[in-house]
This record gives sequence, structure tokens and C-alpha cells, in this order.
Amino acid sequence: MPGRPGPPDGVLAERAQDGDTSAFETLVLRHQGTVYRVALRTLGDREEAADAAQEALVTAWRRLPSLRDADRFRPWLLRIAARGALNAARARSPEHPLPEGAEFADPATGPAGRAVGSGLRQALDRALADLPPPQRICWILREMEGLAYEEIADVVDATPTAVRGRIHRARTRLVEALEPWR
Amino acid sequence: MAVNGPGTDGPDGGGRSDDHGGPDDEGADLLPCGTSLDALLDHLRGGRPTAHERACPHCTAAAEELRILTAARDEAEQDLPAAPPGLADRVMRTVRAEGRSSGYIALPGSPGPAGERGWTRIRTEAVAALFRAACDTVPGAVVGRCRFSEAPEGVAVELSARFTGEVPAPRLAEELRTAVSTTALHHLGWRLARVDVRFH
Repeated sequence: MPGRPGPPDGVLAERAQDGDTSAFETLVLRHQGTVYRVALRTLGDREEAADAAQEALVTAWRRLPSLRDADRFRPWLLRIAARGALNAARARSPEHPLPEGAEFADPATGPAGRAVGSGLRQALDRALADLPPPQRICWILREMEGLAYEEIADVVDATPTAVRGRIHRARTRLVEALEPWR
Repeated sequence: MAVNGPGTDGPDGGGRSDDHGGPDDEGADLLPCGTSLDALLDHLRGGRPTAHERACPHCTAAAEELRILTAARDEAEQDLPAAPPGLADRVMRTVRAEGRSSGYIALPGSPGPAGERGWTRIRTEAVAALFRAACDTVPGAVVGRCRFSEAPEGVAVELSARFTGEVPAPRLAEELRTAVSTTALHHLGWRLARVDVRFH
């Protein structure tokens, strides 16, 4: 999470590239929440998300030598996490693509993957579930995880302009969906 | 929606016919008054809209339009699911078990009675940690990478550093060199061939 004291990510990532495991541990502690939530939003199951997050973080350690720009550690890590979670979700039912909306679920509110309840929070969860996945991930990374457009572009492999457009459309749709709660 | 924004997207975008907003694609999501919607949202999130944002009809209309979404977002943000306990420990157990074969630096010891020298081998990681700790005593810079190479006159060190203060680069570099060279001599008995510092 942002705000945790200590050297910036780029410094820690460079140290970790040199084999400094305690520098990597600081990075893990700093970003494990976001990694876990990215996995959880894709998988909708806490245990599976925990496994996927662990796998993503270990994969990041193994691939660190190939990270060229240490200052872009966070989007690089989240990209590993997002792809890993998506692969895990696909591996569940290899012959069927994920149903629309299945990539966002709030497990706290129901095992079916669809949030139930009448509160504003639940309404947001339902509205997010109805967004096209590219819009959803961009909006979440921006609004819930605080990433910059350029970072999100790295995560989802799009241009910052495309990311900006997705977030704009996500906002429009979410506002429309939440209209009854106004 | 009253808020106009840029419109391009990749092929996986929303697919709406009104997505293409024209030549402003490179610009931020700007309101007619020139305020960026992102800046406005950031200020609203922090509860500190500027005087302009409080008075401008475009800003207040946009804020009102997004009020319900901002409120929902704030509510959701209150209880974001945290990483499960033990996740970091499990990751670090694997990481430490795998390690990284970073190699050793070998140094000849003093000749023994029969004239033979023993060798002292130190993991490069441990040396790097020692040198970084030395650099931590120099205010104004933080050192990331610390790499070694063999030079004819001994071990050469290359540091990558970032500025954290206002100290000018040449002076900082000299201080880092001194700190590393002194530590190398005191702790390891090495005279370093060279210490290169790269700032970025």
C-alpha cells in the first residue's frame, strides 16, 4: 500500500535483483494486498486468490532478473498477478471462457459470485460485475488501488490513452448503474 | 453524462459508437473550464476542492454527477480485503529456500608458514549488503544496485543511486566512494580498484 515508509520500490527492486531477500520482503509486504485483491477480483474465491497471489509473488522473485526498469516494479508485478489469476480461472473450465461478469465477485457477500444486498457498496459490486473486464480492471486499479494511468497501461498492456478512455466509460456506466441510490 | 472525455480505446474497449471523441485523445479528461476531472476527483477524495472547484459551475456539476460513485467508492475502500495472514511468510520461505546463486568473491589470505595462502570467499550478496549499509550513512542518496567486477588492480564496484536530497551529485558520489572504500578496507581488508556511481 502507498504510504508505507522505506526506500522507493525502484531501489528495493534493484537490491532484490542483486539477491537481497529482505529488500524483496519489503516489496512483498508493501504490495501483497493489491496482488491479492487483483487475484480475488478475478477468481472470486479467497483460497484460490491466496494461492494465486503466492504464486504471483514467487514468480516475480524468479523473474526479477528480467525486470529492466526497476522503477516500474509495481505494474510489472500486478501484470504477473493479473495474468496468473486469469490463467487460474481459465484452468477451472478449460473448454468454457469465463462468463461475462464472473471476473468480479465479492466473496464476502455470496458464493455465487454475485453480490447480494441492497446497500450502496453491494450496488457498486454489482455494477462492477456488469462492466466489460478491461474497463473493470482499469477502474479498480485507478480508483481502488491508486495506480497512475501509465502504470495501469503497463499492467493491461494498453496505451495510457486507451486506459483513460476505459476509465471514463467505466465511470459513466457506474454512475448510471448507481442512479437509483442517489 | 455531462462530463466529456477522451474517446479512443483498443479493440477490447466498450464498443460504444460514441467512443471516439476527436482530436483531444492525448489530453486529460478536461472539463469545459479546463480543470482535469482526475484532479477534481483527487481533491474531492481528500476533501479539499480548490476555490475554483467549489465555485465553478462545471466543476460543481461534475462533482454532483459523480457524487454517488465517489460515495460508493469511499465506502468500498473502507473495507478492502487485506492479504490473508501468512501470505508474505509463505512467499518468503520459498524465496529464501530458492535463494539466488549470486556467487562469491575470493580473496587471497596472508601467506602461511609454508608460504601458501588460504582463500577467503564471501558471498557477493553479503558484500553488497555491507556496502549498502555504508552508503546509508551518507545523507542525500539511497543506493539500489551494488555490483562487482574484477579489475586488474582489484575489485571494482558499481553503485546505482537515487537522490533523496539536495546534495550535488559530484559531492554525493565522492561521499559514497569514501564510505564504500573505507568499509571495504576496515571490514574486508580490500583496497578497491574503483567505485563507480550511477545516479538515476
